[in-house]
Amino acid sequence: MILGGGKGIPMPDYDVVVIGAGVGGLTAAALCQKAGMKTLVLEQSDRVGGCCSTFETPEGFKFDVGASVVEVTRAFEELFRRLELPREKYIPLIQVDPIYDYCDNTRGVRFAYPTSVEDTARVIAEFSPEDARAFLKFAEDYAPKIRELVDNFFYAPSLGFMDTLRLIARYPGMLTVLPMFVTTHQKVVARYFKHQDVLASMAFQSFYAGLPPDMCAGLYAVVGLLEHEGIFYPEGGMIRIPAGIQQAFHDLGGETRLGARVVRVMVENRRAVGVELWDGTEITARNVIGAINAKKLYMDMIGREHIPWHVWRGVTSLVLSMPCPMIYLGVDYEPPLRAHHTLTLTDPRAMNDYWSDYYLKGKLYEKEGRIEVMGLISWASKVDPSLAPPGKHVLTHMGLAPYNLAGNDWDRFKERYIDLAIETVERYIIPDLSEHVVYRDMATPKDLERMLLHPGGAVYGIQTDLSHMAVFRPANRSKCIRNLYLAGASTHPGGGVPAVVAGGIITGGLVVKDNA
Amino acid sequence: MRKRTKLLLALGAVAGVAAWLAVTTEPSDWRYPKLLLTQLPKMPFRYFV
Repeated sequence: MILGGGKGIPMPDYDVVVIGAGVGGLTAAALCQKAGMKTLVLEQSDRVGGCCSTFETPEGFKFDVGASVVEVTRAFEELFRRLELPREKYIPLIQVDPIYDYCDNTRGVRFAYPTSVEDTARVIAEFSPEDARAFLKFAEDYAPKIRELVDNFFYAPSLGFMDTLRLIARYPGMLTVLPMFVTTHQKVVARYFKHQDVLASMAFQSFYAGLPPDMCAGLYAVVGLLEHEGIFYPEGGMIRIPAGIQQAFHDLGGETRLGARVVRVMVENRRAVGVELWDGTEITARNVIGAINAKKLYMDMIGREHIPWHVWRGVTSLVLSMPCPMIYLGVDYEPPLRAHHTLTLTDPRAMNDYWSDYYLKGKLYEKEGRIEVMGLISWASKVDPSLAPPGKHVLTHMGLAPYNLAGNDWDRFKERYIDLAIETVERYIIPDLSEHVVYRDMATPKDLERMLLHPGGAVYGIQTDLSHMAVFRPANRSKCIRNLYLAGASTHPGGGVPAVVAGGIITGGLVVKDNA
Repeated sequence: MRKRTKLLLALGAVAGVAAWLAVTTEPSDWRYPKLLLTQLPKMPFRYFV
């Protein structure tokens, strides 16, 4: 079958079919629809957003599935500027301040970083004047560079070396940032800071890349500075972001089908011609956008027979990012927290050891003979009280744990893991937490894989090190299947809500340009 | 651009990264270079994904 609508040739059902109603897929879909292309988004679950979503329990608690906050809101502004629609109407955002709290009750250490760089330096000065001065220097050295890098790198396609050269020609400052890709997070941070608690408070961002500080690209050390431009939470929960983009897409005439699971991308002569659903329905399209994990797209939905051997070898070599098990707790009081985010157990040495001595061996972190759960607590109902029944609150714990547990299984271990996480939080942050928990549940890495179809429960898609970045990350336009495009965390520029929106902008732009 | 040229460019980039790592890495920070070095042979293939 050849599509195109010529004499005797069947017209395709759609100009564009998008697999997956995550933030990246919806962004690309909205841009295609805006350009006048008849676009359909197919989502296997009953709600949009994937990891950036919110669900409600029968008890009236609303929990965010994964993503818990957004920074770099310029990505949203850019999207809605291109859609010529008001962002505030579709995605109302509330600023969150302070950015995050660092707490270790066992040592009586607690401090929170405000949005303002100067105020953050004042907080650090209370226990380390030397590091406070270093923080101001750190921000002065890197804040403008990282802002410029994001503004250029985020929205530029990275399909090949020519794109890299074009980017450098347009933005020569890129050359001064390149060493940040080669050096490590730990080296960058250690160059400025000496105090153990400052180092610990800045180490967590490395796990956004799915790697510990001594193995993570130095770029991630300065990404934290972007949070000082302001971090935001959408009214009504994180689902408001994909729901807002979906609403814009619908207002432009687009169509979404929920509960429509795609099992195969139809390929003829190395050209994507549509998709097949789980019930055998075939939907033809001029272009297909796979807004799902790139490994799953190529290996499960397209298959070896359509992919040249060298591309297949590249696909199979991609390393998935670290899974982030999510614990959802409803509590019957206002928890004694001070910020939207609170970090637990982020000592850089422990995080480095965790990777090699525990994570890679399928174990959970142990300290002084007991299992402790590293992670980050998000207190969304502080910002938006409508997420919990009156007098109650929602807490979400994002942890770090292996997909395969040595000698155990996540389905059997789930309840014990929740207990261990609560015990850890009680020890370091909220002493009486277990007495106030009235609702508890968890999404294990296996659950995330089943619910979201993320292989390995990898919510950040593909690991983000130099060997998986830019031209070495799955391209937004497929290099082996014509009319096939990719969006989402596993493609350029990477994981995290703003990056996925930026990737969707790149993908949507490529589809529109190629079909102009 | 021909596939052979692309492959040569990919290999050149990989060699460049390897040289850069060799020059800039201190012996105490061996884990990241080790990670990248184990990934280096795979990068030319990833370029085509």
